[in-house]
Amino acid sequence: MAARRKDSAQTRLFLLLIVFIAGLAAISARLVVVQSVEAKKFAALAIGQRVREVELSGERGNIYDRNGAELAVNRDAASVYATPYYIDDPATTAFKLAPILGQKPSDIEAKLREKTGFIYVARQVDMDAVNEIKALKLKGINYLPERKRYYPNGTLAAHALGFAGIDNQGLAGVESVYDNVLKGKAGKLLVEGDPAGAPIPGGIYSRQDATEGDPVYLTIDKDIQYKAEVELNKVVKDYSAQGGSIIVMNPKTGEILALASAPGFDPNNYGSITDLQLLDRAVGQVYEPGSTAKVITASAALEEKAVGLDEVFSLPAEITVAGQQFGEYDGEGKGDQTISGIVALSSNVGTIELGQRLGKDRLYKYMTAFGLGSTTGVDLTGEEAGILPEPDDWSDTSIATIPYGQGVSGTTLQMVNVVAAIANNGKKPQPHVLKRVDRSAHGRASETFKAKDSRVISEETAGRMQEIMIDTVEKGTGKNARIAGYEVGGKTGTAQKSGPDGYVAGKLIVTFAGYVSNLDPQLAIIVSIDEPQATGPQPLYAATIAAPVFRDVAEFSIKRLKIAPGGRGPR
Amino acid sequence: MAKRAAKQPARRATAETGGSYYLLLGIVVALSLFGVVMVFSASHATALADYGDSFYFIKKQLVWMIFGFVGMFILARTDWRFVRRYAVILYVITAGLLAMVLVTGYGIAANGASRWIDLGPVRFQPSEIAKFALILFAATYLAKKRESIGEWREMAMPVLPAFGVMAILIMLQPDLGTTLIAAGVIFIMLLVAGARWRHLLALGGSAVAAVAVLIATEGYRLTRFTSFLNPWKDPQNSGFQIIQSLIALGSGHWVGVGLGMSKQKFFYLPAAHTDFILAIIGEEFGLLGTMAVVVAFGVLAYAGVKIALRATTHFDRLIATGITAMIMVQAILNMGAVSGILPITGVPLPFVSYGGTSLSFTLAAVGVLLNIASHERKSNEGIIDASDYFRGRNGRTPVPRARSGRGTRATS
Repeated sequence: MAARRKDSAQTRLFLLLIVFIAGLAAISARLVVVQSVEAKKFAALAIGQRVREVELSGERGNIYDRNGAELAVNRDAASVYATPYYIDDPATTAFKLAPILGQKPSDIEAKLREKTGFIYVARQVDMDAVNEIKALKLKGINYLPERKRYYPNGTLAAHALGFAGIDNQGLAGVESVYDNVLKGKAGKLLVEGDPAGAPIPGGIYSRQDATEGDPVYLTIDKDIQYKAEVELNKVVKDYSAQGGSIIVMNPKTGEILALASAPGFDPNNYGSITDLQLLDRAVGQVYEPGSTAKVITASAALEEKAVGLDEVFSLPAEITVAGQQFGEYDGEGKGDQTISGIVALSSNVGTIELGQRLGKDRLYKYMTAFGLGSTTGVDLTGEEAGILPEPDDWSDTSIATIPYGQGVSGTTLQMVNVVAAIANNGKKPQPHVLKRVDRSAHGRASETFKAKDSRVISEETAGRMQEIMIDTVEKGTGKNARIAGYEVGGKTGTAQKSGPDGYVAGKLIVTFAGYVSNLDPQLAIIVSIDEPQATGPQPLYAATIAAPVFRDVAEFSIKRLKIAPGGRGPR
Repeated sequence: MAKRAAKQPARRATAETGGSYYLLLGIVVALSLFGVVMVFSASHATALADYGDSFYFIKKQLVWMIFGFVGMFILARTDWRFVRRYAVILYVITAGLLAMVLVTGYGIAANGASRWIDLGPVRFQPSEIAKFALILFAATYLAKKRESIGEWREMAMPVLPAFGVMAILIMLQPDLGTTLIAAGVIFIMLLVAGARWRHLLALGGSAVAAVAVLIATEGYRLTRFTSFLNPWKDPQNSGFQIIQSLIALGSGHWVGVGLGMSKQKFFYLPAAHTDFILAIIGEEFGLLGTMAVVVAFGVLAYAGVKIALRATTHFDRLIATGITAMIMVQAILNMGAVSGILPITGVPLPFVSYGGTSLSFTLAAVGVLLNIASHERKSNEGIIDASDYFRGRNGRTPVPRARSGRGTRATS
């Protein structure tokens, strides 16, 4: 008790006061640290969690055909997003959303369980589905208006158009090549928001509007494109082929009027496209051109005056080069023929003789000039260059095979350009699909595609080659391509596909490349069918499969473009 | 002096009254008014989102504040000491209310705990009332034991069992914060009542052990408790609230972003207008604002202790101690949690946080303090209580007091 005497209530209350003050002092010390020394760190965290930068994409430019028909446009859609903080029952919400959005309930539920104030559930949802979801009145589910790329014609010209992705970025075709023109300039939205994304009054808010993209007009003619696709799909189906491609081009300008590749796809559902569908066989499939290449050899021989127009070749059924025998496709000798007959009857033996006269360096020079071994530079994605070996790399037999299109490879587009160069009196055009960019929205003049052509052979040689190709159609392998009243020249090609162990029996690519003229070159058209299957006893020849398709597409194009009849008839 | 006080319990505070009367009144009025402003600033966004009315919380808060000030005014001018006689009855009623909360049908559950009783238009938290009932009960009994408190049994009975029953009832809600406050208040009252140091040490030790057990047995308490040590370990869950609080405080820097300009109140900081209002004060008024609040509570502690010191009776002193302790323990627990040096225990900041029951009862309790202050002596030179055992030290002759038993100190 003696101890307690010293220990008065006064002392104890003072002690208590000291404890209280000490507690407050500790709190003060901490507050001073947080609000002075560490203040900047926490202020930065505050900005980091509240301020969001949103990229505003401008309205993507439409894509039209040469006559202004819509090929790619934008329409209203919405992104469905969730604020998981506000969702009490993620399982039920996910279960209700799943069938409308076509997603798995478990996938949606995982998103709804994220510890965040904002997460996309689905992007660019069509308004029908959005309205359906809105009717459910789900708590914590909201919508952001968006514009979604829409291709009103579905599969039409899909390979040329390509498609744009979820953020309206071009991913393939024209959408990708001209993305910079189409997408405009992205804007930026800086907004300080609450966890649900709603702007906080008095918070940071700055908006830099996006500039809309410019519309683009293509050289494609929607109707000819449609016709080409219909005919291509029909012949692919009739012959149970792997696929095929058709190109319709203006040989004077290089404008591509139609570019069809089968199998195709619907760019509106680009997420489900297979690699095989995506392959643009017109520009991206490389194969040995076969007999179609004979026009290059013949052109070179004439241009180099290695052969006279009326010089007669006596053509046996076989020829021996470097100890190896090379024969005709049908095993029959073609008798006495001029250069015209060699091409018209597609004689391998005759073409080898032409090639031997030229020699590999000159042949290589013309193959290169006509565009083999390098891309055409067409404004599409996925173009391949093919392979043209350097003369030094040629084997002893190359001088026999390359003249008639084996041991060299290229694309359908390269081959139609060869024909176009001959039709265009020796000047090789620059193939392209862009006609013009409409800059009027930004007060500027339209920009037109400026194509440059390049001379490959003289006008005289070209004229002779035209006559030879007319003969091919009138008297030779291309009879099925004839169109009354018009000058039609062409060349068939039947090439064997090569596998890892050399040529594969029965796997053919049949081609017909030709042009239509009325003394003025009007159309260059190529039809190429990959692995057609025999339907009867008759063998698979380009003459019977590809040439009729060429004629149908050419006739339609003539009507569509109102091309007047004329030109040289049969000699 | 004492007799005069006894005869005129409703005496007005005059110039004679000690400075602590006005100091306390001024601080409490200032904190309450500031609180109302801050509650509006912190709550309008939540109120609009949840109730479609920006003024939803502030209207309720204002009504309760008016009730509280009326209660304060009445208690400051009335001799409320007759309630000593009903300390047991009030205790039993409060314990009954606490039990009622736990019974389905009366209690309202919120955030996993049932703390409210719904009486038609009025909803209140019995645990807020329980603290006062306990202070009254403890003061009543401890005042009678000032000679015998040296004995363990005398000190413990019946105060500790009474506390224990209430603590259990409150923990069943569960409400750790209120339990901690009640424990702190009882401990401080025992300290001031003159309990032996070794008894206090034993009580403190067992209290720490009990808290440790309570924390360890309930998963959410453990994560809550440990998260304040390193909130960055789990910033999205257990550390979320403290990080959001620190972000608010840090954003305020020296002088804050300005009244009403808090961004964290827009659904980032949970309980912005209740337990974490200090964080919003820190964001809008910076270090200046938070320091003002801390200093205000420092002044309040000074005034409260001074009133206890100068109380004219042992009972008054214990009541004053209890009320001051209750306010201060609560303030320290709250501000410690907001600043991240103490675990989050769900304790509101007295006078400032939103919460009707707490605000009105705390204001009324301040009325009791003011009443005691208006009777205080002009100096702390000894208590006017015949049986005051501090007499020996002060060397003063005590003034006899009618109801006090006049005994001699127990000698060893």
